[in-house]
Amino acid sequence: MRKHVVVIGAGPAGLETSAILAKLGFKVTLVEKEEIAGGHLKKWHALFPTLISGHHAIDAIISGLSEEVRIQFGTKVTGLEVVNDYFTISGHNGWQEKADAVVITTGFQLFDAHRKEEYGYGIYENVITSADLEELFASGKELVNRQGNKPGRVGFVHCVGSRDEKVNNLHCSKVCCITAVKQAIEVKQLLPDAEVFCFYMDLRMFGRHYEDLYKEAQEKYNIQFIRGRLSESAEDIDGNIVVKVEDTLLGKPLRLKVGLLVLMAGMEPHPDTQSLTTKLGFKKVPDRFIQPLDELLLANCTEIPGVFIAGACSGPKSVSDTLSDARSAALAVAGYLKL
Amino acid sequence: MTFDLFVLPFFFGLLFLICVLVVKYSRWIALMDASDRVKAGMALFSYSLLKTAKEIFMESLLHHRMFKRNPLLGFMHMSFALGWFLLIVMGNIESRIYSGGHINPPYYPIFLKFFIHDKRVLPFEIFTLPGFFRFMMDLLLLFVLSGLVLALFKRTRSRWFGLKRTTEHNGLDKWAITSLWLIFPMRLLAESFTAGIYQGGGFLTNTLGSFLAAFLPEKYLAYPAWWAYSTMLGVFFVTLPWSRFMHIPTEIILIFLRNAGIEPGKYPGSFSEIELRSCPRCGVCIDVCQMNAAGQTGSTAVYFIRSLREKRTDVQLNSNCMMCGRCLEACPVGIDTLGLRVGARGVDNQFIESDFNYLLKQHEIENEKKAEVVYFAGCMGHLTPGVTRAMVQIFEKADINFTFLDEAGSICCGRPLKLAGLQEAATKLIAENTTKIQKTGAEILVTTCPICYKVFNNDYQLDGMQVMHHSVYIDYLVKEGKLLLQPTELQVVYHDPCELGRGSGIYEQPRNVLKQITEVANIKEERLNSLCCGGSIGDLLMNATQRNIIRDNALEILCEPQPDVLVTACPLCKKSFSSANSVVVKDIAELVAESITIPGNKAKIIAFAEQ
Amino acid sequence: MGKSAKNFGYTVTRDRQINFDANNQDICKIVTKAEPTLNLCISCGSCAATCSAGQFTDFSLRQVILLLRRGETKDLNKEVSKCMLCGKCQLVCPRNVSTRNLIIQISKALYENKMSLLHLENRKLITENCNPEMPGEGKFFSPKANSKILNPEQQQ
Repeated sequence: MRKHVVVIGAGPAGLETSAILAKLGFKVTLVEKEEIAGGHLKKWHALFPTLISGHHAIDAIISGLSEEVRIQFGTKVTGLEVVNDYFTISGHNGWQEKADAVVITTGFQLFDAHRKEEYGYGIYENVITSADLEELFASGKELVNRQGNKPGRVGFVHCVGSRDEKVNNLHCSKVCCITAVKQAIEVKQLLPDAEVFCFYMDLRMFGRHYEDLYKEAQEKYNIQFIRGRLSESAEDIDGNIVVKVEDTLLGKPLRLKVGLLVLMAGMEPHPDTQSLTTKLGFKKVPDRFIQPLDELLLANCTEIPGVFIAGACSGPKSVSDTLSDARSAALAVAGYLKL
Repeated sequence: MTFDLFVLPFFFGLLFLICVLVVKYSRWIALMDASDRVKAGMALFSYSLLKTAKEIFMESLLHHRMFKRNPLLGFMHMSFALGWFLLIVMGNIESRIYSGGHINPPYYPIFLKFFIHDKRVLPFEIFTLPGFFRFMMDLLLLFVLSGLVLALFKRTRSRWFGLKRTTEHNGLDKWAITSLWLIFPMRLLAESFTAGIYQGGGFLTNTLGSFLAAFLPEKYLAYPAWWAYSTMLGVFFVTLPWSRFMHIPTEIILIFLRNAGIEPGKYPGSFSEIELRSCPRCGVCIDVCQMNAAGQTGSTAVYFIRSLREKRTDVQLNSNCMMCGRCLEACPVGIDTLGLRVGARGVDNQFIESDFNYLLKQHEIENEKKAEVVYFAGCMGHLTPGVTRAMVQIFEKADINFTFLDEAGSICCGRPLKLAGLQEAATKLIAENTTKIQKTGAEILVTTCPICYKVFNNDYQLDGMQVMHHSVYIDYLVKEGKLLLQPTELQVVYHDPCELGRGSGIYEQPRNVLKQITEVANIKEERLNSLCCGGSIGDLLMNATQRNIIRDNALEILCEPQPDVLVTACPLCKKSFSSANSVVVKDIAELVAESITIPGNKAKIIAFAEQ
Repeated sequence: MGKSAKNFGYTVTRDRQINFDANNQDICKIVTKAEPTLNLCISCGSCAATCSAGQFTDFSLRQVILLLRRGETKDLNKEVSKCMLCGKCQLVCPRNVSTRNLIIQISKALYENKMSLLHLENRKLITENCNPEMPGEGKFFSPKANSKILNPEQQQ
């Protein structure tokens, strides 16, 4: 009798974990609260460094997904009970399954930029988030502001909703810096005459080729990097966004108008994940992501044997990190079940 | 006989007390500003004297405010105050009648039962009630003793009195309380023993006396009991000027001076010395102070006042107060705790030099538009653009000729400096802003921030200009028919900001507006008892973690009715509450802007055009 | 350093360089003790960006904190006197630095430092005029003392 694994969340982590587990011979059920798979990734236009689209990535992962993997769509997991040596997973619509192991791959929630009221998202029309911009890129539509004009200047604000005590997210969301640089270049490619600015606190170019992209942004695309955290923005009569920042490297306050302001919204722990982990009795940690058993050596294991984690639910991750994490979770599950 | 040695402790104690009081009060009155002394002198011959008498009766004797807080607490305080007062008054009348109208030495009425211990029938009593005075005096003694019993209970069962915490008393206060608490039991014993011997007492003392005669040698105990009674009185009087009971005479002077029009809460200053000693350490301010829940128990008003009295400058105590005004509201004596804090901060922060000369260049800028209404968002308003935008929409929809004075940025209104005790620095900012505001020639100044509103109202001299908070202005627009609002299905809770509610007395106008567009749920702590959001610009010391605890405690109570939206009228409150990310928080202006229908006349035009 | 070294090679002019070893870190330590959140500042500049005073004059709390940390406190009091204590900086700080109390504590530390320096100056003036060979006996009216008191510019 094959062992049954339930994977919660059909984003890139959940899909990859399921694919590997199926290849290893386990029976896999993937449960997803939306009607389609892919999570946040499906909205992404281009993934650095290979610049494939999110859809392409998802398709590639799904192509490795055996047809035997059952995907239960439209079902939000509301209950997870430990019953001796197996688990009962229940959904909000009455769906229920028994499993020998569970993998939580519920991912993250994008920070709601409305919460940084002083940045003007939802108040000034030409303030959008990085996710909105990525959707705009993916739609293939012209890059114009809400008035229908091509912006002469585009500004990117780093660390929106991350590294910020005022919204209770102390963590760094890891990938926004590289995304900002990537999006800045993409904007320049669509609007060669536009001036593009990045307002940052730090530039976290930690990955391979990231510094190369940064150099290219400066060299080839003339993107201006200004070290200064936005305190507030305002709107002028024409709908332009007036940015108030301190040019910390010069030590002077700086004011400039941009036609479009992009807020790099960070990753946050999802409240649904939090209620699930509360029900499981996991220890509460200040940054509210799921805490693995040992962050260095057992990053896919949790306090409960048989319950594993992968992907952004245990902290912000890039797509490549997520896929690696998903594969290692699958192997951890295999190790647990084969014993 | 009308004298015995045992009266000496009482007599000398009283004499000592009177001398000390005369010296202290004359010194304080001498140190008062000349203008204040004139006010006080004139008040002696004005109607304010009646007001003073009424307040002394209602508060110092009846403890009316205490009763409102908790009936048992009020009764306890009242029984001591009113009971003892009536004992003295009635005792004096009684002794005058007994001695045939002669003026007696002051100790005579107090120790009457020692000197006159038989069952004399007074001429007065022949035609009325035999034993009337004996009955009344015993009744009043019982009244006071009931208060004493309650006071003893309160030490361990304060919750019965509506108090979770009571004041921790120090050194001399403990002596004073002990002597006070022993006075009336000693009186009871002394009178009872004497009544037991001579049967000259009333229903209480006779009964107790006969009961005790059964197993106690009253003949030998009576005299020592009178000595004990007198000694307890003596000790009480001697310790009074340096104990909490200094509030008894000082409160009366405070009420008189306050009704004479002298401004309270200006520290340092001799009026504040009188205020500081009017604090009875009743402890009512402790429970209402939200900082206790955040583990900061030391800053409460009663301990702060104690530190000032003892001249123990504690910058922590002075600076760590949210200035929310809940203690001022709860104080039965009405001590201006806020004014005292600001005064103390003024002393602490003297070293701060402010140089605002860089603002003088602002004079040269002549870009103020002329308009009927000038809108001032304020510092905090700029960090809540949702609110300022809503106000602009409201102005536009109501067709108001307005100018958004600080759209591009503002000079601070000056109140944060005031709250830090830096009055002089604040006046410089006030001067700059006054010039700018007056240059608009507007009739109405509308402001979004209640902190700004308070200082505009109280400290700015804006000739020919009416100052309104935006919630009041919206209410005015609705009443004038300039705004038509569409009701929604929203269930809301309205939070009274400290500076708008208790600070400026504005409770109804925001509710009037909200009731037209939403359903407003009532909560326990609202209006005068509203909770502080924790955001407070008045607290100079508290860190974010401590503020968040206060915020969360407040939110628990505010969100009890599970509202769809928590509505507030202050940008600082909005920022504070929304940082918790637990309930939707909106300013009243935002809700109004979302509910504006097309103004009446325009709707008619459109309907006509569509025909 | 020997006399010969002074006239050899390159010397960076004293004013340009922050001589971290020579600078007095005491004021920073005092302020940190009074307001520990000072340590959390990452110099992001949000405070300076939103500053009310910063709109009208050269004042940056971020810069003040940096100068304080480096021990460059000479003209700091002039800077800090520009603050209106409005509190906007505290509302935007991503590290929850208690910026208002920080300003007050910096003012206080600078003031007390100024006072103690003045006090030291006065004491120096008095003790310098004592004959060191006869400890405990001061010669306040020696010609040397008189000249110092009459010509204060000769000091330092």
